[in-house]
Amino acid sequence: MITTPTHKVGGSPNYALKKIVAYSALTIAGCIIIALLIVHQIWTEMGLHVPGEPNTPVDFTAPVDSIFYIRNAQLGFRWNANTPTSIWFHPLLSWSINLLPTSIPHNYRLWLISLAAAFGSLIVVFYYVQEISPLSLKPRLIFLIPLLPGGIGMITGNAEWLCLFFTSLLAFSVIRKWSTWHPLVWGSLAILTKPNALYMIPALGVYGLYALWAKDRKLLLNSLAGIFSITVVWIVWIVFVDFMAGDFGAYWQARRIATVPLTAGPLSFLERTIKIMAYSRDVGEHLKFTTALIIPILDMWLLMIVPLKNEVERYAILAALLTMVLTTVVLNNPNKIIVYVTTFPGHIAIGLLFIKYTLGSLQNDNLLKNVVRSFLGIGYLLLCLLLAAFFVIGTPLGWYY
Amino acid sequence: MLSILILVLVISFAIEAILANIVASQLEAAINERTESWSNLKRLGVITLVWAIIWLPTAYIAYQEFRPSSAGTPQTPFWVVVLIVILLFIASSVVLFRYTPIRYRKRFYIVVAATTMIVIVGLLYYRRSVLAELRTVYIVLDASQNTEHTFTEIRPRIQLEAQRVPEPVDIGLAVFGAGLNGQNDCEDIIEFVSPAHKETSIPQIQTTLNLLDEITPYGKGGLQYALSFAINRLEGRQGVHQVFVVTSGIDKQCGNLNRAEINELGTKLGVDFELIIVTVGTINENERVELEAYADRYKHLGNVENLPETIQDIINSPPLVYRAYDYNADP
Repeated sequence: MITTPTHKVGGSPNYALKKIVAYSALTIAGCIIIALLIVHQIWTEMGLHVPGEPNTPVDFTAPVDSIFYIRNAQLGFRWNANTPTSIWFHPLLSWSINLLPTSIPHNYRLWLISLAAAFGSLIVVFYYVQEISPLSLKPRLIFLIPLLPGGIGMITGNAEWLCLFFTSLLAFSVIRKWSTWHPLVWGSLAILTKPNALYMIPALGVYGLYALWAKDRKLLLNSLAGIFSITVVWIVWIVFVDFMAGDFGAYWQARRIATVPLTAGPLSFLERTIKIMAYSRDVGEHLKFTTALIIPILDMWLLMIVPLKNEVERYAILAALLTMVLTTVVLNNPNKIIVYVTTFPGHIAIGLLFIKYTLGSLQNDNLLKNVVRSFLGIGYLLLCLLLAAFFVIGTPLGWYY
Repeated sequence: MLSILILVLVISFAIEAILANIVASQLEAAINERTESWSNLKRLGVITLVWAIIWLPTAYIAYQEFRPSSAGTPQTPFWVVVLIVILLFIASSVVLFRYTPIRYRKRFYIVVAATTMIVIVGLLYYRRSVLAELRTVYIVLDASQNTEHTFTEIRPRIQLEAQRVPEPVDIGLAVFGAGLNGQNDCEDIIEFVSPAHKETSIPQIQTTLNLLDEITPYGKGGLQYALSFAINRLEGRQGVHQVFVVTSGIDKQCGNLNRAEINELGTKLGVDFELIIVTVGTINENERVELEAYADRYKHLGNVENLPETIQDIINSPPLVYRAYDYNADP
């Protein structure tokens, strides 16, 4: 039997907010220093350009596709399926860029928004992890979040952390059974930031099913509100794009222009992975396809090990991870899983809890358990370091997108 | 062999889960209880042996699957390492999973293990099918004025030994610039041998080359058009193909070489290819630089005697390029 959540309806968390805020601020400060002193130097040295714009060098303020959010802010949306780099992207970040003072360059505005969102995400995600974990977590664990797979991305300007901020608020508001307008608002904002918010739907679906079974009306209402807001706002945005483009289906047509074979068929992703491994000597391609499979599957195995307060949490996270694997395989698209996964708070929770569980204070009850725990914990940390290096080197080289 | 591998993997996976639990409990007994019980150690030894017996054939079959075949398929040690790391990780996780208080743990384990298995088995299945794909080596021979002084040297050295050509490779031959189609323009190309299995194509290639004994290279060398022609001929064929050009220069009368145009045609027709250019004879530095940029692989042979070996090497080596999709292309 799945255990019942013990969250108090409408209750407020009773953690040391000041400490959590302080550690989050210190983490962000550390990220800024790393961005300026290390990443900026490395990327400048490499002298590479952002995708699609040979004259725009890769910059820590707007790497990978962040440049397209900037262009949308500068030029406005170009409502045309033939300009996919405009209508591929959801609008909230571009709108936010335009809300900041014009005296700040666009790329720095994006970076500041991203840093602010990362700061907020660190706080909310930590509360979320506290909420689902039976382990006592000290706020200094926040320092480890940038080290988790994809976490180092918070030093750069991107839309993922803004999305994570909203998805973690959405998850937290559902399990804490806040007022229903919370999941409605956070779900809407998340999907207006990035389509990655869709990964939340299966997780919320698990909460909904559980609530139905447990006759928990508030949990059911909140999870349905989250699903409703994400779905409806997404559909409204799709229709709006089609309307503005004057072409029914423009939103999907633009996605197909990416030349990623979206309809190549189920499991063709695995075939493509093997072709890349067999025929390509491009290290970036190897790593892109490998990480696309390893990261979500690894998360599943870690999820199987970490202790959680309520089993419904475990199944909710599993549902989202399975969706991630399924999306990758069915859409035949390995792009940016290392980054996309950071938009799901469950991924951060798994990483933090796994480190805490495996490398936290050892109990003397069982030598074998402690040895295996330490072995896995150190292995995971090494993998995290490798993935951080993969991010720093692979971003300007276009390794994962 | 693949079906056996899948079966062994599935069974191993299931048994591993059980054995890992037993091993864990035996180790616990041996370590935590600090007992020197001979029976515990004996049981532990037996279990380890059973574990090894299960995994050794798996490892052997996996090795057979991954080792390079006579068809020149590439070795992928990186992928083998990834597989081993995954298996090690799974084994350790299973041990630790034993200590995690999860309700419905079997159900959870089945979901996670099944997902992992689908991915691993899927990768193994497709690896087999991908590497079994036919690959076509399409030889494009320059018989234009570019090879005025070298053609007589090149022609007899286009030699292919059937026994040295890998089984899944088809071979085709086209000649451009020979003036044999009655034209003397940049679109002068004739396919003498359609891509076919070595048993059919190699004798035809030898016959064709013997017939070309009489020709005098004088036509225009429209390499760009010749490659478009070759790519069109490869349309609908499976695999990543190799278009192999033997020439002695660039004929500027036929315009500049444009690789993007060739790539675009390949993308349009769904033809994945590697362009290999070998030049023979004297070639100026500018042409060499241009051909290096134009081809995926470029080789200049100072000595034409090396041509047969070069051809054989190319046929025996897999394509070095594979364009999954052109997401990173600049507009």
